[in-house]
Amino acid sequence: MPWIRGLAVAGALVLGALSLGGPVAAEPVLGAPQARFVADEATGGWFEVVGLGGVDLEALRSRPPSSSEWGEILTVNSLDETGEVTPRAMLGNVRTGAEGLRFEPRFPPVRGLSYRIRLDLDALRARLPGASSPRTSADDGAVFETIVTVPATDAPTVVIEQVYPSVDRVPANLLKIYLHFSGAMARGEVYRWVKLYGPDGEEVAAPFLEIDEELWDRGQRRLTLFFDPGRIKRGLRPHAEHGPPLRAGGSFRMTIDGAWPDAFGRPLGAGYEKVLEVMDEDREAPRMAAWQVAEPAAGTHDPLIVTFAEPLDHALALRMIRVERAAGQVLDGVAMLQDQERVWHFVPTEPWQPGTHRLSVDGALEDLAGNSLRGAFDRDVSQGESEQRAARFARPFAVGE
Amino acid sequence: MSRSPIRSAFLLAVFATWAAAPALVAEPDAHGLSMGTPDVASVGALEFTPDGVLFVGDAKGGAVFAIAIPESDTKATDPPRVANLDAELAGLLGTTPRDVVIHDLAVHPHSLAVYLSVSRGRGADAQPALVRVFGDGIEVLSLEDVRFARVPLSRAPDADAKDRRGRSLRAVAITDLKFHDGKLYIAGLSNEEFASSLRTVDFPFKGEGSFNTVEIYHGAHGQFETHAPIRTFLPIELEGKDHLLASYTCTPLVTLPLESLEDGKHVKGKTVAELGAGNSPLDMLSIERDGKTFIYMINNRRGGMKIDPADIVSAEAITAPLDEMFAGVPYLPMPFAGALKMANFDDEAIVLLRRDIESGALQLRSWPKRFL
Repeated sequence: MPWIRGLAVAGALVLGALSLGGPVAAEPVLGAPQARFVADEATGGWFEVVGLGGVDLEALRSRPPSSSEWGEILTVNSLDETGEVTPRAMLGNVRTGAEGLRFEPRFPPVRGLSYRIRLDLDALRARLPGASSPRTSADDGAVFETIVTVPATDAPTVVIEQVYPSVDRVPANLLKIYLHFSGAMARGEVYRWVKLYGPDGEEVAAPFLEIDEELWDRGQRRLTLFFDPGRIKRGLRPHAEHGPPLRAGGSFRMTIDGAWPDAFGRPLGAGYEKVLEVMDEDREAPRMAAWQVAEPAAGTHDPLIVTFAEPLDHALALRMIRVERAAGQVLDGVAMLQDQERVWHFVPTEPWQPGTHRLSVDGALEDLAGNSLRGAFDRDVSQGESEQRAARFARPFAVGE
Repeated sequence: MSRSPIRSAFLLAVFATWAAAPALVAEPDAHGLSMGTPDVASVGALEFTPDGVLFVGDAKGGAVFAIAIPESDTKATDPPRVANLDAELAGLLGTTPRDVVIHDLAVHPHSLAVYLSVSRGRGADAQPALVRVFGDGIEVLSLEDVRFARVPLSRAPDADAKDRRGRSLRAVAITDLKFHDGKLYIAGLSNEEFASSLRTVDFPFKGEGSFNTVEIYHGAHGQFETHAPIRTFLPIELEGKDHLLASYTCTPLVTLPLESLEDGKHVKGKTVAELGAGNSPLDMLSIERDGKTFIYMINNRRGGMKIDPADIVSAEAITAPLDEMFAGVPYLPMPFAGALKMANFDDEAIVLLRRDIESGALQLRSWPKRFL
């Protein structure tokens, strides 16, 4: 097989120093082709097979094989968790480059995952312009196969940055918990990683509403956990059968498993624990009238400080409260929550102007138990308790000269 | 389900027009769809119109897309069977079976190709893929240069206002989508406010549609309202009137007359059954055989259920506390262990996405209707 041998020697000369994965060749004469992964931020990277000395790449470029012909020449298959080659070849296109063949996958290669690259040299030779008809005898079967592993991510390890509510003392009918992570986490099976233990140390069975779609933000850095409302609301069967997940007077522990995988499949490493001192149930709607408003002075950037009567929902309080000038114009500025979500702090971009302003709040703003400005989460309809359907609630305040 | 030659000719014509001048069609077509490449950030719930426009729920992008994907004029004769669907898709998508998540399936009304919505990866950068299964072929569809339209999930732009660090953390999970009589119904749940919303949008998309919050009487719940999210629902006709039959976590079954869904209205459903706690319904469909309709529901813990709509019509509303776990409309248990999603294939069969209990593999299987 002089042609292939020549190819191998030429390849070895060109690529002497490269050592990326040893070829697993069906024929001992094939020593030179090399496969490698090339990282590229824009596309996610591609695979290259180089060291094809003796192959007229220019001729191949000018008369490229069809995509189905390429499918016989060069294929890439991911390996599954057990190292088995997946049954269908990865989707992508092959191009002929200056140094060799480039496989551009339709979906970016996965960090840390291994791929089998398979080059059928007989099929390649058969497609070379001017080549003699393909030889089919087993002696000529020359297949280059190797495994290439895409480098694992070097992104920093993900940690749990914050858990809301940040208070330890929570009502027994606490509705939700937000987990904030420093990086993107993996979607799927989230409910297995968060556990709740009662004062007796026993695990509380299925405390959270399990939503298959999982309630992540788009960046998958914040997860919302709703306590199963069936177990919070009075009179519901789950409430009667299992009792509420949290009971007043007890000290509960919520744990987050350090084995929880991030978006790259790496475990968090460090777990997390939060103690919840459970108080009586809160079945009252928050009222704006009970808030204290410290009015700022005109001409300053002093913060407007609003002190709630109780801690409010972190996400909603940041999103649903705004300041309007009397004309209804929304002021631009920076809002923050302080003192464990009891205080809302707003610094305007432009200095305060004198005159009447108003605090405008979406009626859907909730306290920790899901009671909103519109009404209690758990209302007794038969007793005529109804919701106030107002979209927004407002409270005026003055900015003095 | 025989195909009229007129419809075939129409499809061919549509396909020919599409193929001939992809970039030149700027005007919306009769469905209000315009040519382009939809910016689909994620794919979830799927639903076809009777003439083959596909609705795709994109929770991450905060929208629902209507997409006319050119489809073959050949009709599948048998439902597809794929024994290791997750491994096959992992190969095509260049990942591991663990990182293949299949969200929903839908059957094209003319070709009977099975469409799947798939996420490749579990991270925030997971890639959406629409997959078409036809006979032995598994194909990842391209969404370049297709006719499409988009409707946003949130009514007001400031509903998704960014937080002070410039990030919008609010998202709406779409729990189900159904098309009925010119309208698309979208059930969803926000990751911030705990409130079930049911959105109704006319198709072709016009305006922002109507929004309803839905409350139900939940079995033993009796006198208490709830805002629980609808998990799955189905348009059905009861006594000559269109209704939605909806099911929730812990499996109350509820009917809502469609005529009650006026914009902005707070709607109370009629609870007609309690089908068991500790369970979430996954999907529903209705099939018609020998002039009679039956409803099938699959669940994550309680298997399959067959329900006679006549029992729904005659059911008393459950409005008082219950002593029993089950109440209201009776059901027949069905052998659908491991079933995750299902759809009508043709007059003879349904297709199921199921996790095989022995191997753990995700499979595409069919079930003859004569055994249902």
